[in-house]
Amino acid sequence: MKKSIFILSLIFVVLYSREITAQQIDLSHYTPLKSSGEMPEDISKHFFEIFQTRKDELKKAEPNLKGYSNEYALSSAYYLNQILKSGKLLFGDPLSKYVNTVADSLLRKHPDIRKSVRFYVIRVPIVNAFALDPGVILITTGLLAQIENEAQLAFILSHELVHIINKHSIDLYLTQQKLDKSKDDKGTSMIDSRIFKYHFRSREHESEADKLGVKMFLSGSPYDMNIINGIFDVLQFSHLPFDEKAGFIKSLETDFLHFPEKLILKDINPISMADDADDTLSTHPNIKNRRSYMNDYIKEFDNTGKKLFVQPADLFHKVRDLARFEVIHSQLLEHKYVEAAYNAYIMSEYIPNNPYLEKAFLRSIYGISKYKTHSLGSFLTSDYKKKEGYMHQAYYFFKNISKLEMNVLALRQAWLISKKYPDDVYLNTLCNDLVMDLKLQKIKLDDFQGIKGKLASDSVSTDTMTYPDSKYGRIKENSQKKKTVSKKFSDDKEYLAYALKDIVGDASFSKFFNSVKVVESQDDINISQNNIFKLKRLEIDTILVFNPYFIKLDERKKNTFRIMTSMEKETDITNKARNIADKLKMKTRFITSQNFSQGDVNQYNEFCLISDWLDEFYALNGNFSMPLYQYQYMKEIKNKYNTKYIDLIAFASIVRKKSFAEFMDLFVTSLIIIPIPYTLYMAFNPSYTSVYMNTLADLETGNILYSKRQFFNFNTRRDHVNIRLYDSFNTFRKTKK
Amino acid sequence: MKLRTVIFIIFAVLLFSGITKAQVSGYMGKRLMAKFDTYTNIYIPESFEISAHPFSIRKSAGIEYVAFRNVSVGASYYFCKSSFNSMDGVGTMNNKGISLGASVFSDDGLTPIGRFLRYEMIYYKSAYTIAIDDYNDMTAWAQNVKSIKTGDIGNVVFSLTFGQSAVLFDRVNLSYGFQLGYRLGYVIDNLSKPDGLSTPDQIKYDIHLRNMNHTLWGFHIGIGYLLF
Repeated sequence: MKKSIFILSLIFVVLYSREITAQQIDLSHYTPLKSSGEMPEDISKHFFEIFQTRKDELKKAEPNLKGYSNEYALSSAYYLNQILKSGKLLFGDPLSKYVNTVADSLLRKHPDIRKSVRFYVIRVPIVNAFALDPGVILITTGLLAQIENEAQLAFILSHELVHIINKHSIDLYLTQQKLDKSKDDKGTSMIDSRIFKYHFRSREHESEADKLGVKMFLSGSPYDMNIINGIFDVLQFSHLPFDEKAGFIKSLETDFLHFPEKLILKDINPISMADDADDTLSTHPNIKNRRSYMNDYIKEFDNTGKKLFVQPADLFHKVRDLARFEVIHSQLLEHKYVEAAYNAYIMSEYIPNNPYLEKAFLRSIYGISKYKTHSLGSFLTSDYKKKEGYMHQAYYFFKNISKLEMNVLALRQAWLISKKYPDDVYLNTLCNDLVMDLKLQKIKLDDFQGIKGKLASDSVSTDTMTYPDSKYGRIKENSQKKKTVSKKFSDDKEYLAYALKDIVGDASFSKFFNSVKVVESQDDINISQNNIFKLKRLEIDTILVFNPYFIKLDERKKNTFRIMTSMEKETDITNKARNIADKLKMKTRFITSQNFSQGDVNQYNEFCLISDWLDEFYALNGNFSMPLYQYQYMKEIKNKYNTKYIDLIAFASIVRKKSFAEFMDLFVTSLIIIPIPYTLYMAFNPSYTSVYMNTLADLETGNILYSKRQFFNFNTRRDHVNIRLYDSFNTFRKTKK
Repeated sequence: MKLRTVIFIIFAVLLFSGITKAQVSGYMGKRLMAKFDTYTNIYIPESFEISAHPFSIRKSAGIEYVAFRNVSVGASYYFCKSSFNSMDGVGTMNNKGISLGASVFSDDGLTPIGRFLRYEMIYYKSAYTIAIDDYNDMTAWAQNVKSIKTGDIGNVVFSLTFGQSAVLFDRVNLSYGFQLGYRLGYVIDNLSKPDGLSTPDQIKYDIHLRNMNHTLWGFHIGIGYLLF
């Protein structure tokens, strides 16, 4: 009996422990991180509840806020709510567990603080950390991907803890209010001097957080304090990839594929070492200042016996690798393909033959090829001149490579990877798409010279060698070359004829290439469906409605953004959409952040997956269609809800100040007796501009099947909302039979 | 209005609805509306000594059907009691008429919500009654004898209403606006202005003038009920 209780307890401890081990992180089977375990109250609580609690707390505990407590509680609760429910937050995953373990070590002597502050990881590729009132610290995956040891993370956490404990956000808010009231300094220079004062106060907070973080937390923890220079290096070079390594372009070459010299940039921009940028308009002091005062400051503390790692170092490295995988994933979603390709290359140098990295690398170059095919390559490489280090070379390469070259390069890569992972249907789709793009450029399999098994240099017949250095020899040599070298490729792209040499000989490739049928682009169909005058239903059985959005702005008020009305209306719009869908007997599934109150983690993860999909969808911006990268992770959603259509609903309502022209119109109209009632009505009635947006898209391809953007000069009254939602849903649904 | 005309209008509306696409949603699927409209006009007479009543409220009851996304078509029955000035005094007239019209909602509006412009062709029949002076020339002294004249006179008015429309409680339609109208043939009538005697032509002219005035402009307020 005792033994069984012991085993059960052990299982319980293993399952529910917040600790994590390196063995639990399996990078060879990486899929984007999901949250697990119990949903934290920060996410499950409804906005109104968060606001009410915060308001009551502030009234009691913050006499400084005086008349501002309501306004401050509202804005802080709103922004907290928006970030925590953005679908980017992780809980119960290996990264969050690790950060919490470090926080445990750091705050061993401060159990009360540990209890009151919550630490989360947010899936954002930028290098940053945030302290949000009241007591939430967010660490980005970008930061976890770049730090070098556990002590650096502990320093970041210490810094953010000071922001919370010293209530910097309240102080900054009050500073802003005070500056808004003071009008003395307004207009004394090109930039309002109040902005300088605000940033100065913010920099004071940052310096305080740097120093007090060490004094209050880091010095009493087991963590090494001599990591200051290292962490500032991380911040200074945060815009660079995970590492600086040559050979990225070489890694794309084979025995048969050598890129011309013109694609390889020799004179790359050096990495800027300047750390003393002008920080007068920055919220943070510049890196040089921070290094300087912190290096002096830490000398006051005893560093003996302190460690870089409290947890095993290999766990840290596994966590960092996982964060790096997440960053690559985010970069792919945001269509930052060059960064994703370079980072995947860097990571595959450390972790060779990793399936995710191979596929991510392929997806990056596939994405670049698609942009090039649609003549939109400049979208990806527009700011290449500003890039530094090897990233500059990578950008230069992808900027200058032609669409045909990129297409062939991507196809080569796609075929090799799909052969390696034959069960991956998504890879097969990419191959299919790339062959189709090639065929649309009138390229045939025969155009790849390598099918004959010879390189260009091998193709001169022995006959020409009879007189190698004579007029006749050269005539025959040139004639022979013309026969063997494809005319499809111009002289500067002649190398492409051999680019697929190692795969064109493969019968399965030839069979696959020939089997791909060219289908005209779906884009034309969609454009006609977008036409609002086209009176045709889309005949869709089921749709997913994702998080309807409402924003209310009032230009007449000091705080233009009306948070409470926006949040109330958002709930109202969701309910209205539900009712209308029911009325039309449509099968609709609503995935909204309002459902988090039920504490269903699966639903939260579905929300996150769709939120990621939206990143990619918005990055694509309806420019063209292609198999979306995120879709491969959404099969469960598609099967569960039996649809691949997603509907995005948004309303915006703006109460405008009456313009001078409008007042003049009213004045002139008031001179005429007859329309006086109308003039009076218009004089007292505010002016409105409202916008209704509804987009129905295909989850698989990002195709926009229906897009409506209507502007109307009325408030978003019940009837306006109802008629627009009904009209859209009515267009989607199946015709009754 | 004769029953035959009413049946014809309903038939025409139903036929029209059959050829329009089902995806036109109207308001929450409701496309047919019964409505009651009023148009108030103030008439400023030439003289206040003997004058017709300055106010006239034209009323109409009808149906309106959402034919396209931003167009509805409708038919109405108009009625309005009024009075008119003539050389011999004030006559009364009872206007009854039918109209066919179409409301076009602006691009940002979906029928029946938002700003609209209604084009309407109204046919009025004005039944008048007036006591006129009748002179007996057979006697040595003229004797003033009053006699009652009655009759029907037709008018065709083209009306343009611009206004706003909203739906309350998902069923009730409210609209308000301003109406402008033009009685067709008014210019031609003025070319052959009668001599001012109480001849039938003069009465016809006076009635046309009154109808011209009270349809020239008006404040519009309407209420409707969304049927199905």
